Amino acid sequence: MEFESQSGTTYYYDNEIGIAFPSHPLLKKMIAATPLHKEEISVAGDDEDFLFYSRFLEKLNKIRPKRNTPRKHTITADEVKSMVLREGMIQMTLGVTEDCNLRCRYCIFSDVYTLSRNRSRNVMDFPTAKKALDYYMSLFLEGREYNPLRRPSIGFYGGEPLLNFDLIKKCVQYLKTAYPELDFHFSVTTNGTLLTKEKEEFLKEHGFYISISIDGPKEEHDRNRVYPNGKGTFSDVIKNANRLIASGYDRCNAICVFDWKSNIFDLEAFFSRPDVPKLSIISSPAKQGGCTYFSQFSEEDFKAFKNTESRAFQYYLEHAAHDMDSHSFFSKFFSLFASRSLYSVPVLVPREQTALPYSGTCVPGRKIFVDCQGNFHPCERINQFFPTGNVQFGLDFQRIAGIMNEYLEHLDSCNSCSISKTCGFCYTQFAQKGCFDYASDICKDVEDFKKIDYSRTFTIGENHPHLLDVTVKDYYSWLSKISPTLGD
Amino acid sequence: MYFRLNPECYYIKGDQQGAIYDLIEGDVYALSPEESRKIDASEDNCAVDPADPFLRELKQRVVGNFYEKKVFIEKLRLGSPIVEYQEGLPPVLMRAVLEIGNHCDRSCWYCGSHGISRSRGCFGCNIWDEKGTPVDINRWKELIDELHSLQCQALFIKGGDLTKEWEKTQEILEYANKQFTSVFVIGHMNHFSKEACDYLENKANLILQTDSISDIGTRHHYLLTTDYQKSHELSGNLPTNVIVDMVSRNFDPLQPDSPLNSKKKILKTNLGQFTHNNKLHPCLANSITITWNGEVLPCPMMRKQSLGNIGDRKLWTFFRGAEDSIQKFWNISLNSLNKCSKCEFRYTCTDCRALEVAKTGDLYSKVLCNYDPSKGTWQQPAA
Repeated sequence: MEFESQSGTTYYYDNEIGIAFPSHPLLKKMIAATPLHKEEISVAGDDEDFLFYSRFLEKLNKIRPKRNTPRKHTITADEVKSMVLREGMIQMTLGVTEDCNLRCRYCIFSDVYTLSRNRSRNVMDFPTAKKALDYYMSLFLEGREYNPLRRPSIGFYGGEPLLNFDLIKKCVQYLKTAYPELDFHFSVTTNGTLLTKEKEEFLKEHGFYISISIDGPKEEHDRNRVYPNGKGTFSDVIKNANRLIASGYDRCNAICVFDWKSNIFDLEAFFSRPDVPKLSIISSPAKQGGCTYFSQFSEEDFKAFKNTESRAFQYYLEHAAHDMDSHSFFSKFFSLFASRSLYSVPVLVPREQTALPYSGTCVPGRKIFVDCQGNFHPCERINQFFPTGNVQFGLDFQRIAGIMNEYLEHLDSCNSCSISKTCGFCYTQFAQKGCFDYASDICKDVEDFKKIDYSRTFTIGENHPHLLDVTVKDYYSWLSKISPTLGD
Repeated sequence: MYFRLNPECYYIKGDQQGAIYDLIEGDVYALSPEESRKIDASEDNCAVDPADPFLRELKQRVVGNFYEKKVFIEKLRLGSPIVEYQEGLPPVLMRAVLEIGNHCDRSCWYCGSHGISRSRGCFGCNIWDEKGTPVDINRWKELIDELHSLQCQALFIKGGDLTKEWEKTQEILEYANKQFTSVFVIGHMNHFSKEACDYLENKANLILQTDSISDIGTRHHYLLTTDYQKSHELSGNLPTNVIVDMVSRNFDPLQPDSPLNSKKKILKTNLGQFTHNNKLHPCLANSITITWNGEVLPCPMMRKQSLGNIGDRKLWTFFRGAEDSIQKFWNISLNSLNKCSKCEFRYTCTDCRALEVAKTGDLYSKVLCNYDPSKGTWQQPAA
């Protein structure tokens, strides 16, 4: 794949090795194995260039992984169990309620997502939670022999989990009594409206990692995050978030969702305030199967957003190195968003012979999401049609193997994809009602988007050679302290 | 015009000057202070003189190139740097040394029982003047199971004369063979009869200890032990199946050109080693030793650095905890040693913690090195 930075420099992305480097007409011809004529060499460069590029390519070829055909292999239940014992179980997340006191307009459990469940009055009871936790702990204890460095990690999710706060308290107290020798990670993802002083004190006492959904200043936040009567929630959320920050508690962070009507300059100003939790994740509403949220936007809305984004990028380039810290909205939006392509790519690590040769997906069981009825799912993001077990019988490794095998069968275009190593897609992008879409349908525009990411990343690097390294290091070392499983 | 190092070439700064590491060709270029300043500036995307002979030479060596505009060079690396921030990844255990015995009738001058410091004693056979109850055979088998669960890559079985308890050795080896494809057996070459060698050949890779160059053959690996003052006699044409083990009775006086403290410590670089040495100790990392009496050590030669005994503990428990886990030793990267952290060769240099501790008693000392990074000079041998 070739792409151009803003300055007009062309780069070539080498998918076998996993890095991009400045291109050159001679290099391009050599890579394409096109015979070179003397006249072409003198037009495109000189003898020195010819020697340099031919020897540079020789060097790269010394480390180029052999092109392997992906193994034709059916994943078995035993293999899944072995992978889960060694690298799985990084978190069990309890969906303690399907109810919510808000009606956010992009909520994945609202009518704009036709494939996911809707909000309901269902709540998890303690016997179900206890069974789930007991199963997780039995697997965790069995797995210590395979991976002694894992810590037990329990997340609480909803709906709005603080609606079932008594259950959260009971779970924490149960675990601490039953396993006093273990050091648990606890986390909660909340809309922030119910975070009273009393609840805050309990969460702080037990070292919870608290993620609060805040979409920016009042006018941005209240556009989508509203109560059932349509009233905005900003003033209630920010009051609670401000109090938490003022108390000096540092294990809290903000999750921000933007869309084509967001003014990202306002978001930059808002998230730079010291009384607002630092941003951990920025995302647009999930564009997965059955999403109708984006149909409300016109072509003009999209163009206007892109124009603002371009202006913001120029602003970022001018100010990034001097007066912008790596936690700012723009740092996350530009450096981190784009550089994920760069830094998450497993350079020089051939994956063709592994169980999951393509995409960036996990082995279900890496995380375990438990719904109110006690069914297990691969995570909180995928729809409910891919259960992986339940509290009664535990993880169903046979079924997980089946999900993985079917998923791999649908990755029909990955073998010829020029950017397969950069892929971060997982089950959620392909999931339909219990089956998967084909990559050849889902990934049509992926290369174009990737070119935009790479162009932006390399433009930042041309202007500030060390900025990406510093930003990525700052962000991930901070993230590992404030929420160890959030970035996974 | 701009000049940038290639993706595979890293500029590493020292206190006074820097070095360029070519991670594909393996070359390490030591730069002068002036050359270092030029690379410092060019790597910051400052304009350069395209006629500069130093930069032109680097282009000829395919280390870097000139560009008309500012470019971004994505550096070649191994894996993803984001992974290192993920909590709870399983430990990577490359090798485990199982010291299954502590008996020998020989009295080699270089044996560990004499308190001798050896640069590669870890690959040799030793016995130790130590107290304790020998680990029984069933516990050794359990340990092999536990190492398999931890996905350990290779087993090194040693411990004095393994033929002294030949049946036990055979049983452990048979058991190890069921779970491990990479097994090494270490002993003195006179320990093993032809029959024993034939038997072992089908079960393990043999590393034979000797102090006589005339013993070296072609069928096995050899550990050739020599006094460091005679080591120069060996340099040059040793076959690739020979590891040289240098012995020093009291370290002093070490000649400035000794392989233990001179430029000879610096190896060719490569991507794997460079990545590893950035975060971990060049030798101790990814390794664990269990002694004949069950002590868990970071290295067979670091007898006083026990993390505890496997008698009443599962092996995985030695991987947990900040201060009393094996990772405490694995994480002693040269970056974390005061003197080395200022040295531009820190990611390509060798280091033996066992020798340093034997000489100074300090786990974090660095005395076996003649380079002074604050001056950028090596101590020269006397004329």
